[in-house]
Amino acid sequence: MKRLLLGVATAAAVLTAPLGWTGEAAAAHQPNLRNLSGSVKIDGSSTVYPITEAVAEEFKKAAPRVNVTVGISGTGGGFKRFAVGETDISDASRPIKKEEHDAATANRVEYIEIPVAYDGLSIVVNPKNTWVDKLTLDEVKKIFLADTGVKTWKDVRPDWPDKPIRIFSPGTDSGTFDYFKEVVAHEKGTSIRADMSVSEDDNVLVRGVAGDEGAIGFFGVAYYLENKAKLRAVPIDAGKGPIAPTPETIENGTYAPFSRPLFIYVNKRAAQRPEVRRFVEFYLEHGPELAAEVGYVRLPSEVYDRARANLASGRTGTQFMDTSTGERISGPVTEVYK
Amino acid sequence: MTAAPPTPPLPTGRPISRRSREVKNRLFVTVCIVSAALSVIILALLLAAIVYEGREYLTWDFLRNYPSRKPAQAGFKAALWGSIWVTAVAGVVAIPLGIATAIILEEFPPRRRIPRALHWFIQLNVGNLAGVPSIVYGILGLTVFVRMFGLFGSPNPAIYDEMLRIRLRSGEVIQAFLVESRGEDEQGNPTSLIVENPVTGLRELAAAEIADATRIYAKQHRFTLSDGRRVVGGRLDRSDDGQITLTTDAGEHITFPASAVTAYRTTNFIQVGDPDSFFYLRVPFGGSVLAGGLTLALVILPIIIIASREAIRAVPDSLRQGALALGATRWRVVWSIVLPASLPGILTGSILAVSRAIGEAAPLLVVGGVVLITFVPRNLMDDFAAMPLQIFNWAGRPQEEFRKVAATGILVLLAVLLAFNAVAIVLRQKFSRPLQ
Repeated sequence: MKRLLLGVATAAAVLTAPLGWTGEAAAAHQPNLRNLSGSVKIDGSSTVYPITEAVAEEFKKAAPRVNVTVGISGTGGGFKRFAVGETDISDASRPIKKEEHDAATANRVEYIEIPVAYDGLSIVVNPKNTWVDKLTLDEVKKIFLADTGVKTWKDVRPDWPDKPIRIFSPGTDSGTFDYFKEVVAHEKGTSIRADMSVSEDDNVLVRGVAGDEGAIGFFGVAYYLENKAKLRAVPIDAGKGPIAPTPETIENGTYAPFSRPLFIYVNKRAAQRPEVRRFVEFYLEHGPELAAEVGYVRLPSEVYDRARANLASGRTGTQFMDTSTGERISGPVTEVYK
Repeated sequence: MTAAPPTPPLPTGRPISRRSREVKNRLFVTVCIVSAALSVIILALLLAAIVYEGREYLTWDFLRNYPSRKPAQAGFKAALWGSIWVTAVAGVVAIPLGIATAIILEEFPPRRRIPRALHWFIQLNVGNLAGVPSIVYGILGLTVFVRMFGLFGSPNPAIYDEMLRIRLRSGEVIQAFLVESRGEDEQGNPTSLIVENPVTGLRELAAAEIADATRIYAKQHRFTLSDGRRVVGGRLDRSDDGQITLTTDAGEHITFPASAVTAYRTTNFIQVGDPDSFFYLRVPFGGSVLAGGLTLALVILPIIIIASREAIRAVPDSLRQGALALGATRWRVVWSIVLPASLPGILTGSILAVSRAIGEAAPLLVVGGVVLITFVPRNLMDDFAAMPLQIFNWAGRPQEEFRKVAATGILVLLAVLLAFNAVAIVLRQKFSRPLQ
């Protein structure tokens, strides 16, 4: 009896506003984070993981009785679990896809979409590669698309040396690859070439590019920033002059189109539990600085304000895709996300 | 006189001198020694490299802390305990099952045709299963243990309405939402609870009245109204003026007055105990210690069966026949003669299989093993982390420092593995008596 009541006591703070329960007494009582208990289940992208880990670590200090768990089954794997209600929050390094949205809808899982940070996709070469001053989008396509016949650097630009190009790419299941593919191979009939060295471990890609003069590769900017001595990031010219990936160019949107937003997707029903809602609010408050600390770039503050408003109003669905046609809506986060 | 049998022709070809045979002999021995030494040297080099990389973070704090974004504060506690829990479940399930299967396969071969075909089929498949990549078991575990084919709804109770089922000392049972707990006695327990039942409304219960309270999860609320309508839905809201709004499975909102309700019940998430209790069980298992352990049990089961079969087969037949001749039943022979004689082999095989379970990452990743977790499992239904998953995550981080942390993690994992192997050796010594 005593033990059970104790259980009730710890539960009490959480249960004051149980799922969707809007009794007057419940609304009057605001639990503070110290007394908050319960659990928050998160899974998804290993790219977003460091940010979520940092937020969860800090949240644990503020709310020691809330059990937060974070998995790394990848953006796609995370959405599979999210869509059946197994997780409360899904980390994603790309917006939700139509199949994932449909699966969630079929299981009556409504979600709130929240961008949490920017990640720049950096295209890197070996530091001994002195000839590449910049790459235009067309040149990037020449290198990475299938059936272009490009085998050496000379094939890309005639005054470059006749050295073979070796390409290093993240695994085709990763959100990073998906995003790259969307930018480079979005035209019908084009596809990313298959003859690349692929690894799920970005550190393997770093070592690959660092060890081969003719190598080129792409991965999240955090891996470049940590390995600046071994790699050189190529400035990208998308028609407005060459821009290198730096926190500034990524945040102000000039490093286009290779900067991408990272997301968390929150189960709307779960967000009615106080511990989940507090966690997401905490995420929005401390996420920007923590994202910067672990190597990502914070979003403009108006995006976080909009996310806060969407969380409060319970606005569901994605704003990065036309859910009826599955058409991706692309553009700067500040314009797409309302 | 009979003709002498024809002598076989002498082997033709170059005669081999004694000297060259000795040279060849020595060469072969050298090759053997070098290859044996090579594997030991490579292992030693690997160990040295890992010790060198991991020494910096190898402190007691590493075993006491939870994961952190800062390498110096990152710890292995959750992963270590998670691995211990999951592996223990796997061992407890797989070892008895594996040994029993091996005994059936070796000692009780069926005689009739159909069971014999089945016996042959199982034998064949045990061998095949041992070669199946472990990720395949992970996917199997996800469907069978984590989700149970979706037969029982979502494995995450947290998306259902959390309610209390309270049994009063008077015998009355109340199912209601907890609204507030009031007061505090010396132990910090509330002196009264305010609960709200959707139909009967608010009620205050003194702690002294309550015999028992369990948390339950309402999957669906079912109302029968006075006009005969039945309303079923997954989420409930109640406004102050006594109106109940139910969100149906189709996403519609239906509003009706509480006074019109003639019957109310819920369909609950199937569970035994309370999430805080050590015996908490629920169906489906979700990404829990139990689901992870059972999945690992599948991975190691074929290995245990094969090792046990080999050990049982090595028991000389004369022992069995002797016992049978003395009038022992077949079961008696297995229990008193075969099992004791084969125990060292069976134990060694089982413990090696369990050590493999500790090192598995892929199946656990699929069944929902997590990386960041800030608590140690309390019961079989809790989430878990595992050492290989944590190492995998650290090794993939952009920061160089995390690779050192990963090396420290590997050191701990190796220490646990070596401890297991040491146990295997000790047990082997203890139980292996020469057969007489």
